[in-house]
Amino acid sequence: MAGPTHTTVWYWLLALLGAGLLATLAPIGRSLVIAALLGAAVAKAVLVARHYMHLKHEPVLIYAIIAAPLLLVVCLALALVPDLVWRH
Amino acid sequence: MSAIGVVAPRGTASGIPSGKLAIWWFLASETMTFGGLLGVFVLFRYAAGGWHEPAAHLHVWLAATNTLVLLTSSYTMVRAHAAETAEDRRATQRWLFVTMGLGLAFLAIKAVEYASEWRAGFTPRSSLFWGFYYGLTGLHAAHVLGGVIALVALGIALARGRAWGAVRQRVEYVGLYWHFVDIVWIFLFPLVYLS
Repeated sequence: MAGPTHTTVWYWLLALLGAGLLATLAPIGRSLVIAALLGAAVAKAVLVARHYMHLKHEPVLIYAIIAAPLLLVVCLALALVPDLVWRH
Repeated sequence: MSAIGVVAPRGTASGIPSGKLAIWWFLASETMTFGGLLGVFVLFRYAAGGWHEPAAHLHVWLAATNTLVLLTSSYTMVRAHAAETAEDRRATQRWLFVTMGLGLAFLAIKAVEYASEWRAGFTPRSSLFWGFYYGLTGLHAAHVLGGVIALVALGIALARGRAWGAVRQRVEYVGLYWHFVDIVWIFLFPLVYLS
């Protein structure tokens, strides 16, 4: 039962990899390319986390453990933004 | 149900086996390590105007091949876990072996990439970009190597006929680590090579 689902997810991962590479060749603006690349990366990460790391079956405590450092990383990065804006 | 040799077989107060809780805590700390480094890299890159010139010397297609290799290794790892859940020892061993092979292939391709860049004169001291490049990808490669060593240890335990109960939970825990290393590369590849 689990096999085909895992295989389907793998196909999706390969398709997203291909889409990201094609985006870099497309005649579109750099901001759009970066947005497409990051969108594809987030989609791939969610697929791996939910289906291969089985996060969709885990209790809320596991989500909390992994969400805390993610939130902290975002806060730390945002804290540096004013310095960048000031300098440039 | 026999629990001989199983790492932390009983659940904690949360109902989650303590071994699983431990690996998730470890992955949370790794999230801070890689998340912090990637965050700083993105900010420095933005501040420096994109680092397009040095980034043009990277081997994008070798890195894309490595992405394909790692995504596939995540697939083979989850197949090992599925085989373990189905209590199929031989299939578990086979999928773990394939995953280990893909991990070694990733490291071999990375070595080719490093050698080519080094020969072209791009070393960690060449510029801030190259310092970040070697630091980020080198730390990631060290994690892949750690995963390969864990897979070898699991393979040896299975080949020696070690008690199934002692090994099967470790398949899941090594798998969680392996998928995490894959997710790190999923973000490293576009941020370092393609942006």
